[in-house]
Amino acid sequence: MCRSRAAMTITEAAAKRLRSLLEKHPESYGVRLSLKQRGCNGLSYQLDYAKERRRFEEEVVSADGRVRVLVDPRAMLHVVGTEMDYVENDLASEFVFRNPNAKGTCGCGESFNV
Amino acid sequence: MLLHLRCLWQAASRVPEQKVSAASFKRLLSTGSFAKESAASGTETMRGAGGFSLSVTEECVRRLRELATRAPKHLPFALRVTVNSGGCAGFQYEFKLEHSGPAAEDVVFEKDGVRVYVDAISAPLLSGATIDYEDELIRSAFKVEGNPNAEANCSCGTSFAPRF
Repeated sequence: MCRSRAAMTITEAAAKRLRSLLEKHPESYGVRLSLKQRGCNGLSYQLDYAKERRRFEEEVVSADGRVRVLVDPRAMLHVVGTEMDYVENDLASEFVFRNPNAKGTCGCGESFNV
Repeated sequence: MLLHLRCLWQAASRVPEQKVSAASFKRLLSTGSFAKESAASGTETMRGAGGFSLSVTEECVRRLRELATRAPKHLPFALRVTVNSGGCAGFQYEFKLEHSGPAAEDVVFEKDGVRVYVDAISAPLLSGATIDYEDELIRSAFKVEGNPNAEANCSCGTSFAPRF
């Protein structure tokens, strides 16, 4: 049987942050990553708590197997191969997405185009 | 009280384009500049020298207090907000933590031990705005909201086009 490669990777920092966020929302199954038509470069990432896995959604599990990121089927095509990371400093802490499909990004890094 | 007045005097004399005389200082005091004001939903308005004002939300104050507890105790602690050129809308906001006293050209906003420095060039472009610390799933960050000097904002909120 061929092993399917994960559509997305979650770094350890992102998994750790997701774990602490999901602990505060025990009713959540995981988080849902979707894309919104927004921002000066077309698309921007959106994260929400997900209560259940919907039809056609891709489930990405962190390396430690403890957190799940559900990728919206409409976002799948744009985020395949993306690395989800979490960066933190005193002024801002955020999830960042390193997307090999992005041809350009907005200056603030919030939106991108493919 | 005397110490408090002296601080106000120092703050007032920091604004370069406005030479503060004893008379105008008295006027500043009587017109209620520097006085704290409370607006709705836990947002506090702070007044600085030169008639500039800046509001901070409860979340912003909470976050700054949290950061202050981690900062070296013997040093001053303040948030610096600067307006610089850049971003997709022309001008962008920048945040920095300061561990020193204000520079000569800074306008200082202070409330309950929370201090915000804004340099004299940025102050007119920021006056009346609210500093918030947004805490969302995807991002937690300091943010400028409701800037009355902005005509248009970038969608991510870090840059704006000023109203001239």
